[in-house]
Amino acid sequence: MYFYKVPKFVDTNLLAFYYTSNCPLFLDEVFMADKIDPKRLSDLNDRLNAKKSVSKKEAKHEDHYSGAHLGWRMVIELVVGMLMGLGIGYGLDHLLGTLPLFLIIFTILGFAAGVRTMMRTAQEVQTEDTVIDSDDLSIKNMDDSDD
Amino acid sequence: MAKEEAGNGLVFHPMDQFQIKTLFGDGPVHWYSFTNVTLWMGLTLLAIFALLVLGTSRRAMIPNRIQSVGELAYGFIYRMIEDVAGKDGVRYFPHIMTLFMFIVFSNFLGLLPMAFTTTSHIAVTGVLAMGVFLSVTILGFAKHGLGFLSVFWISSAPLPLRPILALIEVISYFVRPLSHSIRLAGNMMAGHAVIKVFAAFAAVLAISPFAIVAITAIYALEVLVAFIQAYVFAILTCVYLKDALHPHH
Repeated sequence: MYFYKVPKFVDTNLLAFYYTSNCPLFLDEVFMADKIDPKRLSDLNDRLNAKKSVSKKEAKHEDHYSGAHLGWRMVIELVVGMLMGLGIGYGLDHLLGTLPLFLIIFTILGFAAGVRTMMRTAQEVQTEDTVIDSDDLSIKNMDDSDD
Repeated sequence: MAKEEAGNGLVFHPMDQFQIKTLFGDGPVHWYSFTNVTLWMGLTLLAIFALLVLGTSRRAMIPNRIQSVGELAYGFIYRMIEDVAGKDGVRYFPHIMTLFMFIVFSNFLGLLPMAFTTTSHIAVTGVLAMGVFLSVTILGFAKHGLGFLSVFWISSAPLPLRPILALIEVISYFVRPLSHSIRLAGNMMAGHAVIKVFAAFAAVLAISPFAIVAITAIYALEVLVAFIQAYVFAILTCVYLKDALHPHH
């Protein structure tokens, strides 16, 4: 039904690819058109899959935001972790009246937590890189393993 | 807003633009007063409505410009969730799409001259990050019950170390929403304040050409930052969502 509305000069396959690659909602509408013979449909499907796998690889490469932002993210995580530890420690001390004790302990713990968050961020980026390049650097692939 | 020259000294008011004022009548700001924050948040919602509802209302097979932009935004977020959080993360698409559209539109509207940037306030970004934090935590507990707590219990570490590591993990879990909100608000505030500082320098004749070029350059950078920060906010939400859906790594 939809295909009759499309002008002659538009490649319908290309149009279908445009929608499936950008907007999965429209997949139904494209394939709901009942005027297509099944052979052409499966042929189209194959070509779409081929194109999709290519575009997915390209999309992964685009995922990198610039290094400066990654740097800021890590710095903020580090500082926030330490400040949170400081706050928790000071709060506990204020309640219990043991001023330097918990302040010191929780500042150190907070710093460790900041480093932990930062390292996790670094690991995330590294995993992303290794998935893309498929290097055998033997870094454990954290995601996509359980589905 | 106020850029004035008192005698020879330069007067900087880089933070004046972040003041919250009532628009009708003056006096203190109450929870019900109509402020510039209210105005610009309302404009943000109107802009999103115009793009996503009015723009796509024709549902044309061949989209016009506005519809293609709306579909592009939809597809962009959809694919991002699928890539980061996996197929079962797609169910939470509305939340992430809403966050992304709100942030990206308030960032860009804030770049208009004389506009107010709602995302430059930690109160706004804090609420957004808190919403993500709460929903992701509740989701984790709802999906895995108390087993979700095993995120904090590192079974690969030696037993005596585990309580200390658990404490560190808990703190680092709470670091995430804080850094999530500070990053967005800090980036927006810093960029806008820097533009204002250069604008104050433009009042001096000798360095005004340099200042104007610098304002232009920083404005271009801010356009980039406005998008990237919204993108980073959305992608980190996806990462947290993934951790809540699959805590056992």
